[in-house]
Amino acid sequence: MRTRLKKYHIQFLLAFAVILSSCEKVIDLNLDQTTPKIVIEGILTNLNTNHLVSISNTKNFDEDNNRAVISGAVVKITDENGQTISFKEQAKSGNYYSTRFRGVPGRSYTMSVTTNGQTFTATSRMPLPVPIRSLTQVELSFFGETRKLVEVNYLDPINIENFYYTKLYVNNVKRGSLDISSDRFNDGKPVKNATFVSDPDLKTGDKVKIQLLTVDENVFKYLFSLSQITGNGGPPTTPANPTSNVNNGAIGYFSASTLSTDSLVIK
Amino acid sequence: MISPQVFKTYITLVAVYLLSISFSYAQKNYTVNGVVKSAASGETLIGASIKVTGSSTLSTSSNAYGFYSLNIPEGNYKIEVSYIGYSAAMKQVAIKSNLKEDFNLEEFNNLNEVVITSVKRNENVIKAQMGVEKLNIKDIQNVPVLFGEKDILKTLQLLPGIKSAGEGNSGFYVRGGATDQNLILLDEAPVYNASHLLGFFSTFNSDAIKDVTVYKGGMPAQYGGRLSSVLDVRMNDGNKKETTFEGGIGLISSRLKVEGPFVKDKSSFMISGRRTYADAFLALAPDTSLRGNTLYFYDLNAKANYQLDEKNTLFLSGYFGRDKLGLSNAFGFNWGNATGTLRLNHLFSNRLFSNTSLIMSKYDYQIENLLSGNEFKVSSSIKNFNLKQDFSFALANTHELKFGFEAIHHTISPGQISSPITSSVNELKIEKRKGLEMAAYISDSYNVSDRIKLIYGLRFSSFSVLGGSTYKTFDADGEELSAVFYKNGEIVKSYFNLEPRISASFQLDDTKSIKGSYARNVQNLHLMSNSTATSPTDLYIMNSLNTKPELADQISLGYFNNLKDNNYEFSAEVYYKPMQNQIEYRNGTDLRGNQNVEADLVYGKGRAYGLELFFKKKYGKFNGWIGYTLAKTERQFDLINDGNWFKARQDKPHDISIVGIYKAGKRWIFSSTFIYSSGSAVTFPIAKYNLDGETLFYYGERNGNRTPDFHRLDFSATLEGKPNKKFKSSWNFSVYNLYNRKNPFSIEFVDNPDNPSQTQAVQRSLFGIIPSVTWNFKF
Repeated sequence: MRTRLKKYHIQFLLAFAVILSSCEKVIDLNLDQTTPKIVIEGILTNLNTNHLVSISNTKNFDEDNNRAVISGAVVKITDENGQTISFKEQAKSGNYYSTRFRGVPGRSYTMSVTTNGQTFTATSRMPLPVPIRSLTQVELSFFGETRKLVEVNYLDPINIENFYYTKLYVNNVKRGSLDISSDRFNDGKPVKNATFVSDPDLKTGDKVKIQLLTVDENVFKYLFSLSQITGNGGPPTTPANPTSNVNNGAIGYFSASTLSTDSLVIK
Repeated sequence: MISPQVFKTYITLVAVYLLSISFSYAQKNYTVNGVVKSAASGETLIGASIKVTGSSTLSTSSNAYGFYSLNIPEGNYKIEVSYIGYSAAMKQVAIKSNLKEDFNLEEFNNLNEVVITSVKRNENVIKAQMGVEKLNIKDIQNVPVLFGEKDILKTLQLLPGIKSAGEGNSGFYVRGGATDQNLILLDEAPVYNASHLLGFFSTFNSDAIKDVTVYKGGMPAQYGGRLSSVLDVRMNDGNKKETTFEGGIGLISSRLKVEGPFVKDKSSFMISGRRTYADAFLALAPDTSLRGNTLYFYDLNAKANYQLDEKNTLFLSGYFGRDKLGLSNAFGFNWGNATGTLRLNHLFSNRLFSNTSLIMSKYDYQIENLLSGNEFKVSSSIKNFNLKQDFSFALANTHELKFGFEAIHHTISPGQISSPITSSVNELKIEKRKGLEMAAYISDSYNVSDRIKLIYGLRFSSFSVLGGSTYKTFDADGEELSAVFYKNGEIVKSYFNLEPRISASFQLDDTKSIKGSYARNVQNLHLMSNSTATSPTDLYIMNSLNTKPELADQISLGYFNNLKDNNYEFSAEVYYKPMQNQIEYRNGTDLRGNQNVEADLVYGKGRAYGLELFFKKKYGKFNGWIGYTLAKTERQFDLINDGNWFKARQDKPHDISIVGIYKAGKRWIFSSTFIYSSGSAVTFPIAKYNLDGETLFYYGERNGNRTPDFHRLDFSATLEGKPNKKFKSSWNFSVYNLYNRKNPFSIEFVDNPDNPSQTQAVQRSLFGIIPSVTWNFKF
């Protein structure tokens, strides 16, 4: 919730600046480059589905945004009892899918990715599930603009630390910036998390789908650091590369998460 | 750190030495003392020069209350008193007994065609003190600023060695120090947050300000508590002769000041207020939802003084300011400072002047969220109570002693969240922190010979972390090692520091000198900010079991040369400043409502060095200055940037300021400023990648990049009303950013909205060209 609050703060600053005069322009910075680094993103959920691990390389800033996929890697996930789930790459896409499988909350999983003779591993324990109770449409008037927002309602389990990653899709397109929160201020309470979407704002008829993922503390820290850099949740901080739970200098994360989904059509 | 025993020994040695000085003078000395005042308003003048003509060792300057005391051997002399902006006064005196001699100086009219003083001042060359700048309030009034809102902090940033923390930011960096390493005093009370409206204006309403002095190095021993600078701001006492009204109406704010005598020549008062009305524009907006929003600040300065008798004067002064931001039915945010100072000046003898001050200062903020189901209120504050005793003693004709002590009690309430039971937000109270800071100091200003002047002193300071809460220790990884509750009044830990201060000048001739200084400074309060911009919610912490006092040692050397009969002033200063126990936070730290903020802190060191060149034309129709700074400031933390030295956020290699003020004819004053500085040290991406459809960036060396250069030209024209009328008015027209330079405020890296397969760097600029007009009046 206080993430929201910081958003107001920075928007106030900007709104003030805009009232006075403010302008944006695209500039050419001639940024430095580095040798490509491996990026691994893996999410294992408590749904019976084909889970995804994506592997790619970083690219230079001035290259296009298409992922520099890494094909031919060997990917597997092992649970704490030694049971192994194998992954298969889908047509040289850098996307590796598991066989259908349901993760178990409370259980610890280890992801292993081997490519070019190097192995990267990460371990994550799946937290207990927190279901979305409902989605509510609310309106907020902000400096002359009335914005439609969707509030995600859930009950935070009391006396345990919970970390949430909320994903928002509008008409099946992922939107919104990294929405990461913890129950530091809401332990045991019914939570109303207002999700922000801008450019373009939500309009009548939009189908909004919300995924609420619970994540473990390491994944939370990784994603929270990323969200701080982008200024999501307040004035931007001095950027630094967050510590991944994947070893050997890989970028990205592996998260064993529970997932709850709900959707609503904007009135 | 040093034990009290060593300190006692030192003090004894100093005392013995000083006594030996006292006895070594066989010649018969008498004391001349008095007060230097403005003839028109009776306002005392701070830092006026008092000189016995023909001697360069018999000189002093008036203190913060206009008082001076000088020991002179028997004989006939001329005493000359001068102060910038005023005609010098000269008196013939026959010294055969102690003498009380007040001086009333006549102010130059702003419109005098050419200001000619009988005395061309060369104190800047002679004085031992270095690294000091004194701002003339008139210069501040004439220098163009944003929205015509004259601002001492903005004007200070035009001096070499003092740099802006960025456009729309009242924070400033002095000689490579961070914004929280400046001691900002308003009538001796520390001001915790010197900015309004998220940094667009400073808390100092220049109507209420009499004197501004900034020390960049070689701080006198009476000041302590911050590493990099001292900004000593003194409020007007109030006109002792007649009641006057003064004010201004501008585009963004209006001001009004009333001052006058309670009892003529004995006691007076001053009240000055200011309020912005940016939100007044909102009220005119066609969109009704805009009207419920608030966005303004106000401040109020008040002061009164009463002369009890010849030997005692009482002063009471205060400041109160508040900013309010509000979004109707959703959100409220307000913050502000309050300070109060009660002072008693007492003359023990014509040689021993005493000032006792009782000071309080507070900064607090409240945030209110009104959204249904998520209601909560956050409040946070920092406050202190301070007892301060200062003496100045004219020991011998070439020695002037200053000594005293202070005790400051600090309380920080980091945050408290309150919420209704129906809210999703839990109540939370973060423990208060308390500390006691004590210091004693002694310094001697010693005119060794015609050529050599010396100020040397020692400050002994202590900081005791006080109980009343739980203190924890953490290892290098931020894991908790211990947690102990200390009872109220219990001392958790004490830190002791000796801070030697010395500044000396060697005069080559009447217009040239070389100066050197060394100062150690200690800082016990630290401001935590994990953002690249300052924010009213930035958190103060004090020393603890983990956090040690910050230390800085500064060595500086300078060459001073006045040219053309002291009409021009040139100086070059170099400095080197290593700093210890500097503080940063770990990556990904959330400082908000954080009970264990210290677990997320890391400690390291810093170093800053630079060259400052300053050339000033002081007198004449046309005056102004050029300042240039070449500087570097770096930090090293084992846990940041792989342990390598990195550029501090405040690192700006080049900085140029040019200020010109021209008095044209009888009524017009034109002025212009140009500033250029290297861009800020920032961290840019060196690669990008994609997680779940979002473009993210991989960053290079910390602060290894730079934003584009910053430069700007401002212009201002003031038309004074017809002279010699009771009602005086003036019009000020100013243009900020005359050639509409788009200076960088922030740089964001985003997907190109027109071509989402590409990424681009987007620079946001705050202020383009901004004209403004202000009407000022006085009667």
